[in-house]
Amino acid sequence: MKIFTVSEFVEYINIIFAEQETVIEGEIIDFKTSQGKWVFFDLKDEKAKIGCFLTVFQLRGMLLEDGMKIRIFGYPKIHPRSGRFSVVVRHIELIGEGALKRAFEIVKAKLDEEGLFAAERKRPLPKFPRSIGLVTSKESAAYSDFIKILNSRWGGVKIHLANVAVQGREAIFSIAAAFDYFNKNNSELEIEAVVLIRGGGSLEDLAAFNSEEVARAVFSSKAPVVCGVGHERDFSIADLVADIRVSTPTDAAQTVVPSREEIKMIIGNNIKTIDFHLKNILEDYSGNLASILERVYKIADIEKDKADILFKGLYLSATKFQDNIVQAKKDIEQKKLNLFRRMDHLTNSFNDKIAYKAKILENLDPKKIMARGYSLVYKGKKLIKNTENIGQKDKINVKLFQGEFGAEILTIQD
Amino acid sequence: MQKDKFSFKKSYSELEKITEEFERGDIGLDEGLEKFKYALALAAKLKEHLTETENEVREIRKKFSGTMNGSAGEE
Repeated sequence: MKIFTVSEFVEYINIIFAEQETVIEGEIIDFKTSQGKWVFFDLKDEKAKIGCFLTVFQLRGMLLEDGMKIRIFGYPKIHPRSGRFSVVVRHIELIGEGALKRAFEIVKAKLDEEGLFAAERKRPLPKFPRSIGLVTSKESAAYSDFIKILNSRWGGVKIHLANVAVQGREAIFSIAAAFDYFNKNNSELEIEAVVLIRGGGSLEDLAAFNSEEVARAVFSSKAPVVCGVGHERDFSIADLVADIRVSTPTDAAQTVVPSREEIKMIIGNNIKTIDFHLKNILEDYSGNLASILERVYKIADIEKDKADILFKGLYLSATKFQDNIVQAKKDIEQKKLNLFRRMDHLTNSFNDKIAYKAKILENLDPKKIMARGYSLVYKGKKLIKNTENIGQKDKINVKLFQGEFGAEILTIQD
Repeated sequence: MQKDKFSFKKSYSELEKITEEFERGDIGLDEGLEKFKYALALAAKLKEHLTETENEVREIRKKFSGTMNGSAGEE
């Protein structure tokens, strides 16, 4: 038989125990934390108790207190120095209405005080999301219900499914990890809404949705969160933090996308509305036009004859007047021309006549003739042009160009 | 056709905007006729889009599992 040293023995036992993960249910007593790092409590039932140990980090926000009934997952370990036997806890679940409700109230009060449920931080959902994150278990009825309803209502949506555990010891972590994933890949996935769903269950089944860690994950989501955890009456903490709370996965699908029929109808109604208003506009216009035309026609009817006569007369006289002016202008021009011509003519002929007469007069001047050697013969004062009134021995006077003399007629010849 | 560039959201809100303009009644005849034509085109496109699209589920490959120890589930 092998003989151990104490150290060897403790180590040996611990190695064996470490592989023996055990689930134990009991009630918490003597709960305490140390240096903000370590958590100690005893788990007891009517007949026995056992020390339990874990780190504050492992609690992940779970609030425990004496009297709560819990289920721990862990393995036994002997502390080498003290020889104290305890259970190293890896996971805790609350059990029993009491513990769960108590935990629920504690977490709710704490997060409420921090403002995680504040109405003013609730964000609206996009009307036509093209990309959504879906956080649920792929094997659940919630998933198939959601997809079925979504497909029946709307198309063109990319659903990024984070297949998570929705209950049990992995649920809290995996849900939180899914939200973390969506936040980190938001720019690539362009998630416009995150849908967190699961079917209904007992308070115990829904424990993850009442955990502080899931609440904080929902709160941290960059995209608005729709939470539907299959309970009409009770709110989970995740519901309270979510931007939109719905009662079931079906409800979630109806909330996150519109229905084709509804949108088709709205589009049709929009067109009808536009058509209606456009017709009114047209009627207004044609009504105005008609009334203007009517007025014009009315005035025209009454005054037509008068206007016609007036217009014709006016036209005629205007034309006449214009013609007259033109004619008058022409006449004046013509008359002016004629006048000038006549005056010219008159002037010319007058000048000619004067010149002619002057010439004649000039030619008639006896002195000019006499200058050429002619002379004038007077008997008394009478100019002698023939031999009729003269006789021999008559005294005559002869006027020369220069000078005159008296003479006596010697002979007469005819 | 610029199917990829068609934004249902944008076209839908455009249609709603035009409808509101008509409802407010601050639209003239010429503008009204133009907008009506445009609204009809929008509606046709929107309706076409309604009938032909399907949804697509893409499961994220990453495993979202783990325990309170936080060992699993992280890449």
